Amino acid sequence: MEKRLLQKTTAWERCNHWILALSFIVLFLTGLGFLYQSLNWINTVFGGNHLAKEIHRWGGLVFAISLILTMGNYFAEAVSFTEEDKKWLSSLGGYFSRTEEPPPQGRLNAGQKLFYLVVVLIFGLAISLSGFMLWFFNTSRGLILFAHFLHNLSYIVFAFAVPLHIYLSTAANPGTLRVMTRGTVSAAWAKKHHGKWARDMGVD
Amino acid sequence: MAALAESFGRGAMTNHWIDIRNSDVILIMGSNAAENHPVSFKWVMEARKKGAKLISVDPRFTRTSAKADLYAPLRSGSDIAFLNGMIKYIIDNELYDEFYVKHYTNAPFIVNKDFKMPGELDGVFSGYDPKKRKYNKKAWAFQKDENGVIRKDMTLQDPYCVFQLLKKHTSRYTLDMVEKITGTPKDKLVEIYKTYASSGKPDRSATIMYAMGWTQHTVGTQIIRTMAIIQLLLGNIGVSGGGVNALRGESNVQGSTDHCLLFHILPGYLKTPRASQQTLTEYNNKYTPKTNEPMSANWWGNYPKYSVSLLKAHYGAKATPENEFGYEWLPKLDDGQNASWIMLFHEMLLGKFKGFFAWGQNPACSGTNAGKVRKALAKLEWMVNVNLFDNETGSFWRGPGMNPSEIKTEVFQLPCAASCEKEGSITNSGRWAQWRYKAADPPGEAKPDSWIINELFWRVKRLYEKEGGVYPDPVVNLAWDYGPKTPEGKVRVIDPHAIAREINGYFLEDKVIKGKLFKKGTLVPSFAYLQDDGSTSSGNWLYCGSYTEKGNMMARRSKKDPTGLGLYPEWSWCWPVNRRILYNRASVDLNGRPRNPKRPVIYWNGSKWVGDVPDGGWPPLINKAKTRLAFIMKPAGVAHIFGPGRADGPFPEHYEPLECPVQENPLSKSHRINPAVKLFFEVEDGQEKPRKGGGLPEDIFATYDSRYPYVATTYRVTEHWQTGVLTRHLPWQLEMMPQIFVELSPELAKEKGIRSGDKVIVSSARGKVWAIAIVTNRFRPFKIMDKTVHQVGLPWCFGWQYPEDGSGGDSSNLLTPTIGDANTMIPETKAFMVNIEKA
Amino acid sequence: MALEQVDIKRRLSGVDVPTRRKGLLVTPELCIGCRGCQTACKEWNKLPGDRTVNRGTYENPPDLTPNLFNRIRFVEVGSGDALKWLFISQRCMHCTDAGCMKVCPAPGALYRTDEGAVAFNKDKCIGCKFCVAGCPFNIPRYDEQGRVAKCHLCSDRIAYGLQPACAKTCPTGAIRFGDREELVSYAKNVGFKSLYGMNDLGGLGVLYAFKEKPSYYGLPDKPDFAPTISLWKGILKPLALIGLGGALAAAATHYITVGPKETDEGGEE
Ligand code: HEM
Ligand code: SF4
Ligand code: SF4
Ligand code: SF4
Repeated sequence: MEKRLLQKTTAWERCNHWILALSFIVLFLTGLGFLYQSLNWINTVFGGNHLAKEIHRWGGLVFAISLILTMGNYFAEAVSFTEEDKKWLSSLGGYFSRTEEPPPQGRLNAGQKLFYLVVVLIFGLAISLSGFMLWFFNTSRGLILFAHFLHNLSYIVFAFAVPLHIYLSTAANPGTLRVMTRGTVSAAWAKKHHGKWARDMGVD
Repeated sequence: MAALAESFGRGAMTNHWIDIRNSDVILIMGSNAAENHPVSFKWVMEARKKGAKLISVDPRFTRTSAKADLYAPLRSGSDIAFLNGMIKYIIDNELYDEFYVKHYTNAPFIVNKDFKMPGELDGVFSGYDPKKRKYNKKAWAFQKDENGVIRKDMTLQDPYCVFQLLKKHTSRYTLDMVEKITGTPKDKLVEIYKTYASSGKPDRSATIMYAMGWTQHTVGTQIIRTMAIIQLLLGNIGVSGGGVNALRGESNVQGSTDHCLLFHILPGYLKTPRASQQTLTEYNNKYTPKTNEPMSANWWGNYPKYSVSLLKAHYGAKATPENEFGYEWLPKLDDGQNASWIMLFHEMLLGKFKGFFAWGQNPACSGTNAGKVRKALAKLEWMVNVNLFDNETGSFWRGPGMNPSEIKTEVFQLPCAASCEKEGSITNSGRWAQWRYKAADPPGEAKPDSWIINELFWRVKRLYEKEGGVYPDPVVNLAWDYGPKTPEGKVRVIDPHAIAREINGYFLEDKVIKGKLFKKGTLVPSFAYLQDDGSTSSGNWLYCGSYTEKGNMMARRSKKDPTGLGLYPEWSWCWPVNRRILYNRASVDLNGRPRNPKRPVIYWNGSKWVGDVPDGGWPPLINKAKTRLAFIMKPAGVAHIFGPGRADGPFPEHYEPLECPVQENPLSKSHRINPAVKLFFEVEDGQEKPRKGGGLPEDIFATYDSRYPYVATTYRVTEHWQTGVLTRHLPWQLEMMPQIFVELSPELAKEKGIRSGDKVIVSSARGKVWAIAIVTNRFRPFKIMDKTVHQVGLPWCFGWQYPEDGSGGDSSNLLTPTIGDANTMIPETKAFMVNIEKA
Repeated sequence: MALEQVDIKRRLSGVDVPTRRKGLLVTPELCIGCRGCQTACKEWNKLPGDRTVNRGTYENPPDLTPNLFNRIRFVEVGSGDALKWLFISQRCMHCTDAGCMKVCPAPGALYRTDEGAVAFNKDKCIGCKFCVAGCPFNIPRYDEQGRVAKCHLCSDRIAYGLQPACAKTCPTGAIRFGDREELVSYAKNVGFKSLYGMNDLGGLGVLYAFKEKPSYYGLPDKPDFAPTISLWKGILKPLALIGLGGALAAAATHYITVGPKETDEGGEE
């Protein structure tokens, strides 16, 4: 079998993703520092509550822009739900078996689509919008209370989902990280994880 | 004070602040204690906690009224009608304390048969001279027997006995009449009368807390007299929880009055000599009362001891028997001269003064008819303004309506220390002289008053010594030993302790009194030891005992309270002789047993009195030979229900204020206003004009005049002190009360198209001020003589000079009239007529 | 000195003061509206006076400000003989369930002292202004830098065994300071069966002895903060940590048990 590399992401997509990823980490950590007295030292590392606040706000802006761009990148694929996705879901992506392989998937598998739809689209919008509300409309009691709740709820969702996402993108599926480093994947990887896409890309 | 001295003998709060907690009924009328004496409310609230009823009577619903069990509005200036109605109610319903009335008052005294009262003489008592506007008080004399002893009827039945006369006099004050005059609804009157009169029983007591709301009227003295009579009828004087309690307007008014703030008294309420009293003997004879009453202590019989000891304190070794202890050097008033506040500024405007020390005062705002005061200041050559801050007085020449280029008055500003920046005593309303220590140094160039006086005295004295002058003796002979001196003889720093000791008094030679030797130079333990031979000195006999060989009694701070009544006998010191409740021997029965066993102030244990310091140590009344009557400062030994010493009548009668909303006095056609007040301006045959031999155009007034249809009164607020000189400079105080306001009822506001927060102009015949309208249900329209009468009120604690942008407004005294009480000349600032319009 | 440091300083100073929960008992019945407390608070906290105007009422300033921690409201109710004039102290209640603390995203900005007061530390405050939304009584205010300011129960006085400035000044006992339990029993003794704040929000540090319903005095009858705050603070916030830990643990477990989905690259060679 020839050693062939398939282009999975554009350079642009990768750059944006790293912006997203890094801003998220900053937001996530400063967020932790804000939330928990015991983790307040994190904010000290960021230069104290005040600096941390500024970082969180402006980081949030970067994150939100990056997030919106990310949405554009995957929207079309994520909303198209196919037979394969159904199968992927019913076998839970094969992640709970050493042997079971999920049915061949398109460029995004059903899990990724879900992650995109739920975490990125819904809660991404929620966390960004509520963040801006808290930032700019903090004179309205009702708005603050609503936004505060939404922001924190979204935060939790992210706190669950993103680490899993990272795991799946790295350790759980060796070779995946290349998507975000080089943009290319091996044909073998493509066949294994995104069989349908591989086929579409001309890998047998 | 005049009323209290007339009624009981001493011009001071009879009880003291803490004792208010022992009352069963508290009447707050003519004062607004919650706002102006907030700390007193601690005790009011304690009393209420124990079930006492609090009554508030005031033209407007105040912060005091907000805490009251019973509130009733009354029109400003109608207090006597309200209270005479209460006397009638008490007598009609026999709610008075008969034992008390018989033994401790002059109710049984029989008055001359030709004595007539306003009911018979259309508004005046016998002896009135309309030309002089004065009474001949001889017409009010008591009948006497062949020994010169007053005739009495202990059954109180004689038609000419004081009790029957009082009954007759007040019979005109029916509920209907009182309601028509005061505007207080009848049911409220009855409710209040009933509640208050419940204290007529020996085991109950009621107290009255009054202040400037009573004194600042043309009938001020008589309002207080009315209340004194009520208290005597109910047996509330000398008992715990009772008394007539004058709330002084400043923390140390009592002290300054004791030490002769007023023109007509010397320290300790000795009289200022008059020009006709050429010798000390004449002077002493004039003011030493005599009595033929066998059981009267007649304490003022000691007058010469106190006057001579005062002269010894003034002039020291220079005061000798040969020169009548320097009596000649004392300044004297002309006979009949009145040098009260109103007169001072009146004469100042007439150009009779060269210079003026405005020391710790702000007459340009506090003086009645302040516009006149401001004009008067411009007539001075020089003025010295001693104050913490510059004020409307010091800066009068650049005030509103003034043209600085035309004013020649040279003004010197001397910044002085605040009370907490110096050591000394203050005497509170309850006569407690409390020593205070210095907390901080005065800022900048500010100096204590004593420093300023010392410099002044030294320089003036030196000038007299060097240049002579018309009459240097009073100044160069003054003793001035208040601290270590420079080689030239100037006192370096005034030592407040030296002054306190001089006030207390020394033995000036070795002296044996009542078998006891007192060494020369030691402090006199009590005024009972003062002498009229020059062997003792005392700067103020009332304070003799305040600083003794035992130390500074005023600095004591023990919280011992053996009686449980809150007398705290070892906390500071109170005059006289540390007696906390005056006239306390009126609280016992003939055997010296407390009539109220629940709250015994004193009792006779068979050989001596136990409890408070007794008001006279003599045995109880049962011991006819040795006893002395309870009111030792009155010549007849009893309190005065009938008060023949006042200028305007032995009983209080309602007269209208100078400016009022009715055409005539509802009670008498001929005498609308107090017939004995000094008039500055008059209306004769419809012609308004300054009164001959006195008045000025500035003294104009307008009564029952459609241009000024609303009754007005002035007051203070908790947030500011007096004219606000001290408090307007405090941003915290100004933040709470930033601007002058006028309070009015929603009814009047509607008529005038005024809304809360609007800027309005309040004007009287004399001037106008702008104010922010507070439209409030706390003011309501009155029905006076069947007509609707509106009242408004405004505070006088603002002035144009600070805040500097003028945002505070000016003094409401620009509106008040030139007229004063018949006895004291205290200005009538609590009832006058105004108009109010939207600005 | 930041209020928080007071605690440390006090411990170092060796002043031995009991750290039982302290509180205030406010009795409008006794209040004469003298506003000594309003001024004393400013004095102790070195707060400047603001320029105001008379708005047609004695009440001033019109609202709490970052320079005004304690304000007496003047409320006229009714008219004629039924007229009442109420004076009610408005200030932080030092709630046990403090909405302000629950929403505060800056740990240490609002903190609980040993005496149970809810104090603040301006240095830690990030000026997000969430706490006023979290407060059922609309208490916290913000200075020009946006930092929180409110009554802190004079935590820098009570830590040394002194009374709060307002209580110390009050002439009538309308503001009474003491151990919270003792205040409750004292109020019972003088005839107040139930106190406002006895159980509300887990028990308020500032108790009100009311004769009428709380709403009569302008306070919420049943004070509470938005349900989302309790949902967040009580359930979700702990969840976030669990979530994070759980996600990590799940990943690790998966890696160890199921193992990664290796791509069979070797076969390609
Ligand atoms: C350190 C943090 C992150 C790492 C290492 C990481 C890694 C990756 C990798 C390797 C992919 C490609 C997966 C594939 O195409 O199969 C990916 C995709 C993606 N990532 Fe991330 N990511 C991180 C954080 C985030 C965050 C914070 C978000 C959004 C809030 C996010 C949203 C996405 C989306 C929407 C995709 C495309 C769809 C998908 O693969 O599920 N990522 N990421
Ligand atoms: S009253 Fe408001 S600011 Fe005070 S503790 Fe309660 S929630 Fe916090
Ligand atoms: S407790 Fe202290 S900070 Fe709070 S209102 Fe009273 S004085 Fe102000
Ligand atoms: S100090 Fe006391 S009486 Fe005065 S306003 Fe404050 S709470 Fe009321």
